Amino acid sequence: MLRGIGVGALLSRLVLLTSLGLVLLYSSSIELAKNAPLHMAMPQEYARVVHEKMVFTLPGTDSLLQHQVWLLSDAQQRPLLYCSDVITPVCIDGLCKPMYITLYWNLVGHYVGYGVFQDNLLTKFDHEAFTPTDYAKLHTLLLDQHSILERKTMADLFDQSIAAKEKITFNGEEVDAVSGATRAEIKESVVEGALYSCFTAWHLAHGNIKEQIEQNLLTYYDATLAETFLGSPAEDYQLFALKQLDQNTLVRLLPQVQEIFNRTSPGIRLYILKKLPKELWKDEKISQSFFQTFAGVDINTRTLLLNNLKYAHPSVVNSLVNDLEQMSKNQLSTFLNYLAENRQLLNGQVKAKLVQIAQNKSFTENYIIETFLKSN
Amino acid sequence: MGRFPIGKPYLIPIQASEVKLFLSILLQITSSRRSKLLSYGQNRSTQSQAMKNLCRSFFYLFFLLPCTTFAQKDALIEAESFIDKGYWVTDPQFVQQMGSSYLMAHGMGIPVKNASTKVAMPAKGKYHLWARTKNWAPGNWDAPGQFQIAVNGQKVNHVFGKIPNWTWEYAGEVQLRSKELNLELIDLTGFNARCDAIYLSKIKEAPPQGGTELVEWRKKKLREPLAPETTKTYDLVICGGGISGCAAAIAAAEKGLKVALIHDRPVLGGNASSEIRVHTLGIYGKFERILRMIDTEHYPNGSPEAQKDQEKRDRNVQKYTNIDIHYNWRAYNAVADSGVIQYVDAQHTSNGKRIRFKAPLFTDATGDGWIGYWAGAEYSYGRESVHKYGEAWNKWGELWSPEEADNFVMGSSILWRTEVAEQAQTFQAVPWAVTVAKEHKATAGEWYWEFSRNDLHQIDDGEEIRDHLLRAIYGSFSNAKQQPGNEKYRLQWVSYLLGKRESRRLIGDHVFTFNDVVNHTQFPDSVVVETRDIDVHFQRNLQDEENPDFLSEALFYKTKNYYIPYRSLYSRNVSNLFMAGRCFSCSHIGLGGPRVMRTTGQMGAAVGFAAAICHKYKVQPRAVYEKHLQEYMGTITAQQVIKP
Repeated sequence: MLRGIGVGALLSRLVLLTSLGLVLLYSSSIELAKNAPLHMAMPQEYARVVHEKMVFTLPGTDSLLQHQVWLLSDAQQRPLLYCSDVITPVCIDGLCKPMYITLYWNLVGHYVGYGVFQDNLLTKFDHEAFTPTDYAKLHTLLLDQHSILERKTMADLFDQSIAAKEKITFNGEEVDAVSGATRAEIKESVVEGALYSCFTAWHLAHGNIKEQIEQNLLTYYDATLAETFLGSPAEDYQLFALKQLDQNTLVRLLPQVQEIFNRTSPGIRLYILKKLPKELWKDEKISQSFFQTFAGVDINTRTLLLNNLKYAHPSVVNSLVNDLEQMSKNQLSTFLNYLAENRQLLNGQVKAKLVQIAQNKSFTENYIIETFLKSN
Repeated sequence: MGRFPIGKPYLIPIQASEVKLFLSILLQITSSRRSKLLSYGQNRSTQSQAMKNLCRSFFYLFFLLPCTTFAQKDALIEAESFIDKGYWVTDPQFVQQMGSSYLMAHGMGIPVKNASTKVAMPAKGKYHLWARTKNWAPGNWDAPGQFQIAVNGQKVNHVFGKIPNWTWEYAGEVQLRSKELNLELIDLTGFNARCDAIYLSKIKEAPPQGGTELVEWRKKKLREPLAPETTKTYDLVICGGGISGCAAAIAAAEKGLKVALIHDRPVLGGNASSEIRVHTLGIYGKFERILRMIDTEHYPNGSPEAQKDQEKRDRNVQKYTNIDIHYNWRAYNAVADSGVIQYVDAQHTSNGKRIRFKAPLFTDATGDGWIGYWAGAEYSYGRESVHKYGEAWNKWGELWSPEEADNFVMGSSILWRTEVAEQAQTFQAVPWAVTVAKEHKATAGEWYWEFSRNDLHQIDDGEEIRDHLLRAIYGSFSNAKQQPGNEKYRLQWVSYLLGKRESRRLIGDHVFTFNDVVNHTQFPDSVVVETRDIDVHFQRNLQDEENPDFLSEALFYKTKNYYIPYRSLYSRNVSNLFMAGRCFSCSHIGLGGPRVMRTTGQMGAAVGFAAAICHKYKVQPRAVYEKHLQEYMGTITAQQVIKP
């Protein structure tokens, strides 16, 4: 919602700014690695950058600008990061000014850092310069893939006409109005006084760029890079690599996959468990290696492990019975139903453990085991 | 599915056929509910009370006195039928899981006013006393929901609410010096103590704890006849009085249909009601006039401003004389023969009366797809494989649509809010809640207070989900209260009703999917239009297990207009069943956009007008598309030019 200025005048201004910006941008000599990152989540990768190559162009948010996207690689031409120098208009109430920023992404297209143009540092809308805290906050904002800015349009942010209906407070302080915590959340996540710059930068960092970078990655993705990704602590690299594995390769790389399973996030653990071919579970060693993690993994992963019990080697029952107190009510039912259907597994050791836990009054679900024992 | 609650206090003499005979004769004479004769204390005029007392004395003298000659007697009193509920609330949300509506002391930490009732017992003397209750947050701490029972003004020396899972807790013997029994529920904690029923028996034999045994036992004790006492016949029966159900009722009523609207709460609106307080989102489509009668302003979620819209909504629906609104009635069964629903049975959430609703057409606006479920309609639950409908969005990959189907769904929410008092406010320690909240601190809730987990089913485990959210709220608020500056905060309102986003999705002739959004598919029977982003949620702890498990994130797919065809609004295998609301025919991703309430209201209105076509030509829903589409779409299109 741009008020106080006509569409024609606005367009003229945009064109002027665009031209000015591009002239400014490309008249300066562009050397290696653009503007060095001011904040960078992958500093080790950036430190190894030697080469750069322009790989595609990225349309700007206003479609008037095209930004060149560069692939940065090391001395052996191994890809490390993507980056782009961006000049884009930031407008409020019909007034626009250019914002200069260099954005960095990792190889699967997730924002990892940004740099600034020394002769065009970031400013707030009242021309006040960004403080070091502001720069750090911008980086934090840009790292948030699920920022509230994603679900807001520029118009939402511009619309000052909505009358405040009630005050919302946090820690005793009034934080915002109109739409309650939603507005409060915006305020918490952006650099104060630079809402529109933050909005613009976030949408550039998280727009269609991810899909374009992934497409580019697939043009050179090979076994070496797959190995790098699988060994990386970055979970988005792990998931990308796992998704590319066919079942034969997955089986071949199983030790590495298990290693990822042990250290990664719940979402990726779930992906691994789903992707494992069911016949693999018959192998005692493989079954045990996954089920012995039961007590240490998150509750959603535990559910999926138990859902695979019917495919697993029967010996896992002997270890799982020691983890009963870690199970939720429904998980416990899944386990006991499995035992009821496979009564041959209800050996002396398992039964003794069940009796012991049924008698443990501090285990709140013990009545489920009690009931089970009565009928089995 | 489970047993269903019965209302008023009951007396059932065991092995006393003579007394049963007397009672049945009395029933026939009075044509009244037995419990009305066996209990008293309702608001009546002095004159009628005197008459009632007289009748009671007569009853005791001539009918019940003989009962004292029998040693074995018992009485089952449903808590939700208490005459004066004090500030205990009736909770009918989990009838299909735990067996009954129940009373709950939802005091946000402050013990609520006693609930009380009066019962005429068959005999004085000693009785064993049980109450069916539950420790809803068991662990190494004092149970949060504790209560006592007073019998004729004397507290029974037993504190209830300490045993996990729904259980008949035995409280020992009580001595009744007369046949008049005054019962009181005394809340001790203010934190959601709950009581399903009280059982008194001369014999120390505990009722069955659960399952079908308990169902059968209760049926026997309550002597429920096979069929409901009353049958009502309509042109259209709508189950669920949320926004979609209300819109369907209005549209059908405007076309002259006689409509039953069955709703298990005392107010209409479902998630938009003043009891849950989610504001309505989405556009009006072609139904602005109807939807403006029942929607909300865009106030913050949880705002008390919901009350104003509540009054508007109830008033506007009530003005249709051909809509019979059955407030506080919950459907519990639907019976189909050869894919045609014959009737829906419903029960009053407090007094236990039952009605059989017959109609040629039914609408499932229950949200959970209960009518379809009972009638054998095909449905889906969980996330489809990305390959099933081709719903991939590479930007979010597995979070959006998984390679392998699973049972993750968007979660349920409980909204809440605080206020700042003039003086510092204390809030008692809640160790049973902090284990869920952990370090999280908050003084208000929002939409992202949402809980879903892959071992929990949004319907079957609804009570556990609700209780987990209550613990998250109380724990986070308790943590926030420890922060300097928050001394004056107090809880103003915490809902106890789950605001659900997703559960069963009934399958229609068309399954609405992500592709219909991406391609902006226009159908010959497009009856709903929306521009809202596809907005699919996942739990934050899937990305980082350090996150609280009760907070969610949203993924947004921005889009222009998309359309939902009429064929997504009727069942593909139950031929006289419409659906509107979140149980319409869609995929998990397809639900992401249109699940908001103006959009579901559009669905409801479209269904109501389709029902009118069915009524006019004596056909079933599919025939509207196959044979009467032009007329139907004409009706729909005409709506958009009728200004509010």
